[in-house]
Amino acid sequence: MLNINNPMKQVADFFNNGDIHLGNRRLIDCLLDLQNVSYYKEYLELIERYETHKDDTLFTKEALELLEKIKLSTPLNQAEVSSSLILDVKDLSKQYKVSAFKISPLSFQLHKGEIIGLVGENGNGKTTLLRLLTGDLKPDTGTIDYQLNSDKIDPYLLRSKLVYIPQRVPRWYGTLMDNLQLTLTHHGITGHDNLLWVEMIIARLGLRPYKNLGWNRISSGYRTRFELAKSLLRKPQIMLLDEPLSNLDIISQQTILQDLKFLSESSAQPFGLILSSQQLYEVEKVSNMVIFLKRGEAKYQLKNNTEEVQQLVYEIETEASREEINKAFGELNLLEINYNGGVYVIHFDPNTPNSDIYSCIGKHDLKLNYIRNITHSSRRFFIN
Amino acid sequence: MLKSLNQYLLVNYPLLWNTRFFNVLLFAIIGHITFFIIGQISVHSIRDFYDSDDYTELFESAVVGLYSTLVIVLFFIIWLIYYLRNNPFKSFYPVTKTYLVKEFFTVLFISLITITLFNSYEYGRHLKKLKISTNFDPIKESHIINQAHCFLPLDKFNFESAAHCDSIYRDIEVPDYIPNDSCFEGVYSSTMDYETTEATPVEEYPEIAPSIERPDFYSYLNYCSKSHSIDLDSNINSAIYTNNAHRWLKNKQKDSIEISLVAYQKLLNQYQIRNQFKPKTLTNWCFETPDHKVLNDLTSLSYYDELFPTYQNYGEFSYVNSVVNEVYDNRKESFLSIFNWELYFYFSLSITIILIMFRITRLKPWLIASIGMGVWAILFAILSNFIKDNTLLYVYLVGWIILFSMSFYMIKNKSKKILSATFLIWSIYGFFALVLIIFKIIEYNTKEVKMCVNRLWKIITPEHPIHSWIINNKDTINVINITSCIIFIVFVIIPLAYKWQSNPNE
Repeated sequence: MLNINNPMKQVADFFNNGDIHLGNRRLIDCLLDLQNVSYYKEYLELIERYETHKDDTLFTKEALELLEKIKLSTPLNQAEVSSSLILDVKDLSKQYKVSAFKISPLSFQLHKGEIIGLVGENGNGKTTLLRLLTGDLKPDTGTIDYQLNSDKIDPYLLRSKLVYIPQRVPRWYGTLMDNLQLTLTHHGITGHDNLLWVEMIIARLGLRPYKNLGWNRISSGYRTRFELAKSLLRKPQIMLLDEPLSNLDIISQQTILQDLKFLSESSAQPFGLILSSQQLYEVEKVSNMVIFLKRGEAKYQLKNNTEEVQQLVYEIETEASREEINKAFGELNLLEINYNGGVYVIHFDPNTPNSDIYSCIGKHDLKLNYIRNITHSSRRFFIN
Repeated sequence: MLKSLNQYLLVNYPLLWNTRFFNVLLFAIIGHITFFIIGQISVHSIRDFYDSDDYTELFESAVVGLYSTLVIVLFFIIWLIYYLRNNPFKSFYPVTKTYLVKEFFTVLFISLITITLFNSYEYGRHLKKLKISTNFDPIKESHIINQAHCFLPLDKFNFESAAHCDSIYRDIEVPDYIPNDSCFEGVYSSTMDYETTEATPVEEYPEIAPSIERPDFYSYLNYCSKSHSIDLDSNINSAIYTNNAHRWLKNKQKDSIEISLVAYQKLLNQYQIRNQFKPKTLTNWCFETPDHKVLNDLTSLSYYDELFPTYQNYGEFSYVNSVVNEVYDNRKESFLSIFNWELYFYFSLSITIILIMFRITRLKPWLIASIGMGVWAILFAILSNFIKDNTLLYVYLVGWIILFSMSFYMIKNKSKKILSATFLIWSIYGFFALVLIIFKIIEYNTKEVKMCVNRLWKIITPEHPIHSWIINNKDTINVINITSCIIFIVFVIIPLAYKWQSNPNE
């Protein structure tokens, strides 16, 4: 069950702690969830003033006042939605006619408000799987059951409900604002409300300074944000993103992922999200499940996995040699060491205490750049 | 204002915004008014009526035609830049089939109002000519010209001997050919060529052979031609003028001749046709000898001739015919007869179909189909040299049915997306000629079939009434063709393209 109450509290906390930008973004989420355009106008005037005066204190005060106002006028306890099933994939497989590559049968479910991360090395079927889900490829076997709150609809309208952003964002023409307004008009919001909605989404994704610019004048990162803005205006129930983080800097990656998490859990418009990425840890942070694809075969990694741990796995980046590592961890139940791309992946017996590992490192004075427990991460599958 | 209007359309009527409908409308209105004004300006006075046969008008029309073509091409380039920017259908926005139908009609309307710019120029000319010639009466004037020409010694050839005169009648009045009854054995159809006959002797047509005595030298009595092609009153037999002339000469009715020439000169002056002659002098010329010999010359000059002062009696006589004809024709014309609707409709429908197929399919199949269509056309042109016409029509019909069935089958079965789109585009390109071909096949199969039996024709199958209906109703057939094309697009092609778009690629 999702609840709008928590986001409102979050907003207040962010503002009170001086985290204005995050607070602002979450405030927009709350306003969008309320779907009351009179508040949109009020908010847009507020942000306009902030952009003019750059007065953080005043903005915080006014934002909190607005928050109080919407709290009073909204029956928050009723603003809950269930995280219902929206996609049920069973035994899905696909083999290309011109190559031997094959997606082996895979099954999973996606609920509203959930995120599934799709990871794997290049050429292992991530894009193929997304294209299968969006209806761009015909599966050889299996079923894809979209449960989109609608009776039998024609295939075109079904595809119009699946929002897919490809890895290479197609070029668009005209201004960012015109494109977003056109998208929203086609999705049923016309007239003055159209402008308010688009302004809100633009503000939400940090596109306000770019709204009157065209494709050539914005960076690839902002193009990705534009695509996300356009997708959100389509009121998606299922969103499929192919490598959305590839054009973003590290800060933007984290911001976008966090935003996607927040937005997918919207109380008014929750959606299920499947995204492929090479940014393994970032994706794992926000995903409810990670599907690791290797040569078309899937391994599933659930968040908060309660399955019994088979091995304790650590990823270490160090200048030490393999001999030094062997020597350092020799007294523990060391099962396997893999060296891969400048880092070691070390497998211990599942009963090995974590404190013993750190103790060995200290005792042998191993010079570490980086250490991470990847026992529950799909990172452990990425081994040559 | 236009910006605000576009903003309003963007958030309320996305199709009109995407097609820049009101920008186009504004362009079309300004364009049509401009070309209409150019048309009006291009006709200054009545003199422009008889310049219409000259190179001046041809050149002027060519320049305006070229200019309008350039404007239209430039318009389409700029418009396409905006129109092709957004495609909600390909972006999988929730558009319905009705949206695509509306888009089709919007593009058709835009094509139609822009490609018809030149028509406004012609209509502008037409209205100005009507305005200038309001008070003229071309039928009455044609009688004046025909009568006066009997006494104008412009060309002695017109006053030659009787034999020559007869030949003129023969040339003018050869009746429709009636096939000879005799034949060779075999089956023939009514469309086969026959040998032409000899000219029929003029004596067989008494109504056009005035019973007048014709001297064997250049004489006013020999005049038996009417003035060029002026024959606007179908109730009048042209022989009446020569009969009148003959009677007036014989009875020495100088007044009648002079009245005729005065009326003629008044006509020339009315049309601003330069002339210098005295009707009385010309009347006297007719009676210089008892047998009315033609002894003097009247000089006919053109508009560009600068030798006026060197002649005593002259005039731009040749223009009078064209100006009266022009006034007459112009009065008969209407907006619809000037508006070459068939040409414009076919052209705008072609542009619309090409654009819409690009919009609802993809570049690759669209290119393959468009280039392929050219190849098909060349192939058919080559085949037409080797295969009898009607066989080729059947080949076309069967070929189209196969292509359309393939496209339909593939789209329904979600297979081979590029190929199915190529076949779909070919289906609509090919449909353009399909209805005409069906009518042609019907025309072939409903004509009269005759057989030669004992060197005499025997009708085996009489002509079906539909055969003559087809021959006499080309306009209606074009309407049927254009309407069926539109119906086929709206009810077959668009729903299929809608289905095609949602099909998987592989």
